[in-house]
Amino acid sequence: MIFTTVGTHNDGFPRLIRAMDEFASESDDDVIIQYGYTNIVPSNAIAFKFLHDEYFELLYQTADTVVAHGGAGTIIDVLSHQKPLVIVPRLAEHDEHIDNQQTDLADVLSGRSGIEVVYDVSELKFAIERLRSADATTWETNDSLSTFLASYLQNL
Amino acid sequence: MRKLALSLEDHNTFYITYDSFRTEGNNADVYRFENIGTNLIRMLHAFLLTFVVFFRERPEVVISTGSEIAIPAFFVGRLFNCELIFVESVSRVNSRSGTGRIVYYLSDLFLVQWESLLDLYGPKARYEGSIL
Repeated sequence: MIFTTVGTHNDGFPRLIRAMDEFASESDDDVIIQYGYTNIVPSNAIAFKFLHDEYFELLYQTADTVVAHGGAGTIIDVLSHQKPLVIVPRLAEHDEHIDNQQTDLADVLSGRSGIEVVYDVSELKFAIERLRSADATTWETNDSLSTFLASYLQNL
Repeated sequence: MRKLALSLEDHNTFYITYDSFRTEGNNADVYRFENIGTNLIRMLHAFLLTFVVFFRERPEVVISTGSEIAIPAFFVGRLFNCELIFVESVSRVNSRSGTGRIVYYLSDLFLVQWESLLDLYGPKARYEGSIL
């Protein structure tokens, strides 16, 4: 199952939603789309605006691949579930965000295995395919910072 | 903050936050403030509320990942002689956050999650890993 999320950011992201709706119509995969504040309702996939965390949790657990906007919270959630992730950063030029802040995090993560970054949505199906054929992600949970903080607090 | 909560497990913790917050701490109390944004009146109100909370709770350490809710906490925390720890958001890779720029001067420990920020902030900033 391919799960697409655009988070709770208050701008729509029709460019991504349209592309994933089209992907859903051409693909054999189950596609589920969370479209947030986007004014398009997909017609080729199971779609919803928002959902409580507990249900989002189930979707992350069941997904084979996640396609997401570049929001930090979303990225953290997906990577905690160790799922292959396609990041599509929201861009100011399309009124998807107030600026291009999402590109910073996406670009610095783009080298990692299990992560693809797509700027041109026509590349989406290729990115999804690449992740599928790369098999499991080698991304490990990073608790370097909590570990450091825990010992710093102990030593205070 | 939730990703860092592991480091707080052995300590008595209370939270000041905006959203409804799910926590696994056994001693966690949550104080909920109205969203400040850039509203000066709400910021001043938050300073007052923070003072009342700190007066009651007497924390020894303040940890924040921002955003602007950290500002009253750090100023009031300085008044109460707390250890002040700021953790810059992992989404901040090449540019400093507004909150970070303000609380940098008050912080005892100032952590960034990407090394590219070290030079932008200054000598006090440290990189000790990240959550991603």
